[in-house]
Amino acid sequence: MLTRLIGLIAAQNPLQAKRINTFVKQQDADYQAFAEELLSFFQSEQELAEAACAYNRVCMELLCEQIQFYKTGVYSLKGVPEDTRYYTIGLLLSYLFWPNHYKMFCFFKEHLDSINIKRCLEVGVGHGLFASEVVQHFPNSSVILVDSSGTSIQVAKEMLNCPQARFIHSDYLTAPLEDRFDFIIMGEVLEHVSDVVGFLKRTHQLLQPDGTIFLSTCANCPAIDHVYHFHTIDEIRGLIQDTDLSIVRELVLPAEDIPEDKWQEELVTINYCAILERG
Amino acid sequence: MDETRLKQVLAGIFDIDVETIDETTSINTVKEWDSLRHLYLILALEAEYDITLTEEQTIEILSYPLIKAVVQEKAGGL
Repeated sequence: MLTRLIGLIAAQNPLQAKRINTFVKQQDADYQAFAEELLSFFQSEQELAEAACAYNRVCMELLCEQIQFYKTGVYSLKGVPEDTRYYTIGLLLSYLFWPNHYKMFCFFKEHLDSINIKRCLEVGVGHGLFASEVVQHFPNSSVILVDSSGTSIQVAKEMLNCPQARFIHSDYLTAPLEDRFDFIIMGEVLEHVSDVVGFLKRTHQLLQPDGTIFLSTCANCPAIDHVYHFHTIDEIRGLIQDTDLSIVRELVLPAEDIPEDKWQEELVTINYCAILERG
Repeated sequence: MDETRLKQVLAGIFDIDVETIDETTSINTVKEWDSLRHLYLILALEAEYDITLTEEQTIEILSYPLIKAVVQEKAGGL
């Protein structure tokens, strides 16, 4: 199925295919298993073809955003179209084809191996891949997923196929959440909101004293729906510490093989993820 | 038609010899042609010829003949 999908992508976008093939050839059996599991989400050839189109569309939009970003140094704030299903599917596949996203997913899975989860909250569901992993690791846990996008909630419902998951279609800052959680996922959320401090403060409030947070975001990463522009990883670390959260461990991943002292000057996209706890 | 100027743009981006660039040059024959250098290529072409590529053109120009055709169309010459 992975080979078929790459073939479909290659037919429309040889540049992406070259990049994907280089990455996939270096991966091990765990990756192949992850790929087959993720791609089982697509249940027909037509769905697979639509996924390839969605992925290519997201990549094309990303390239255009990068071009503008290199020219202007700021995000375009273009926003996503009303029908965001293609965008959600494209981002789901990014965890399969973008080296940094796959590394962050592995980092997340390693953390799951070291904790026990009874109550999990995912903020900004996106596609549901991360919550799906929690449900598999901890089938008896209760999982609540909040997203302001109805399309994201629909895709995540299909992805999870999990009766004990509860979905809340709401803005996170006003969502009716009363109890605390021992694990909170906030993957690729902060760059999508203007009130970054508000999101971090609410997450701090909703975290049990011994709970942990998985946070991922990025610096200098233009995309049509990115609103908050982190210029450096230190900006992200600073906001975390200002919210009385502490970093247990972290992963800093430049998107290109460029020395660290050139990251800011060259506007290199930096992916970042961390495990946080109360400070 | 003098194509040296265009070939020099490509040679600079991919760090290859101008003499090696011909009608067969493409993403499949240039090992250094990756996502980042493709981005740099678009920026360099737009700056060199004072043109703006369409979204479709940015992912279509994956060979020397296609690049040449787009630049000729946009800039009216090389």
